[in-house]
Amino acid sequence: MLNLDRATDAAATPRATRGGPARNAGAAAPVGPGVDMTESSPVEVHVWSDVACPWCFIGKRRFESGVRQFGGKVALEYHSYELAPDTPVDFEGSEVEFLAAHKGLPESQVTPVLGHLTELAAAEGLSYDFSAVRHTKTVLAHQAIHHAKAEGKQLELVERLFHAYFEEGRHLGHADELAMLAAEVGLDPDDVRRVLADGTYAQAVQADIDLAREIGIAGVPFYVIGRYGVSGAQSPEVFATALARAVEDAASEVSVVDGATDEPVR
Amino acid sequence: MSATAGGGDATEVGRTRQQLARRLEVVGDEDAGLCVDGVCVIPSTVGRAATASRSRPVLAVAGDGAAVEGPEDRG
Repeated sequence: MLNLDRATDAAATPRATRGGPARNAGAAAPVGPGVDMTESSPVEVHVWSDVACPWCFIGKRRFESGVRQFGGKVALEYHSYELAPDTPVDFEGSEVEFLAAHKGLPESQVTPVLGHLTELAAAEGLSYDFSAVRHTKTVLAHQAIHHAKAEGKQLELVERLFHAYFEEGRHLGHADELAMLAAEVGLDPDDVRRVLADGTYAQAVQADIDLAREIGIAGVPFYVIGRYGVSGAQSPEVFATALARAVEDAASEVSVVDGATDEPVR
Repeated sequence: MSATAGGGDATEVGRTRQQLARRLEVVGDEDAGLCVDGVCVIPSTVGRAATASRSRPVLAVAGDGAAVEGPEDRG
């Protein structure tokens, strides 16, 4: 089980300042009538995302805000999605040039759009620098993220790679660069180089991509929260509501299963 | 849950697939920002707001918020 790093920490803060009875680390406030997550499991959230997706990083921040509003505990798992699989590993040129060359979009339209995205990112506390972005194929980055998941460091590496790509202009298409970044979140860089060279997680990445296709995901970010699909970088309120509904749904399902009692089973 | 850790644990992959492939109820604003096929959409509503305040042109890409279909939509 993975904990939501920043969001979970932040979600714990309001509980600590309420001054009420001490709760254990897994405790959460009631989120609706008849629903109490005090001893329940975290809400499982699956997100398909790509480190080269600007809306995904923005969406990550908004999701984290949504978790803070929700106030409960969340277990988040990232899944691979290659936004632009036709991207070469070593594309020589800017983001604008890539979109113009590979997507046929006029530079006169792309430039202001990237400027606008930069402003939207700034509103979330992010410092996008599209002039420095090193456009590259992200399949190795996804493999590194799978390795990090196996090592219990997935969320840390996802955050580090987003920051590296959009704010630092780091090249995420090369194993050595990925290994250095992975080392910063506590992974063994030699292990990272080895699994990337061996393709240890290539099948896992493809399985994620296949699953995305199977359930109809055609754009990212895409969150699966219980039975709810949340498409795009939605507002924190949307995420908070979906999380609360997922808790209510789970409580209802348990009540139905335990039909001998009128009380929800906790 | 680590459904695809390692080469992909078959049991966990299967469980995740079973959980996720069921019908999803897509919620939220249809105009949320989304990246599709390498192109990132500035939703029309955000674009209108930006245009009104900053006179910035906005890239129009078809399929805002409608790029995701539920399993029931795929026949």
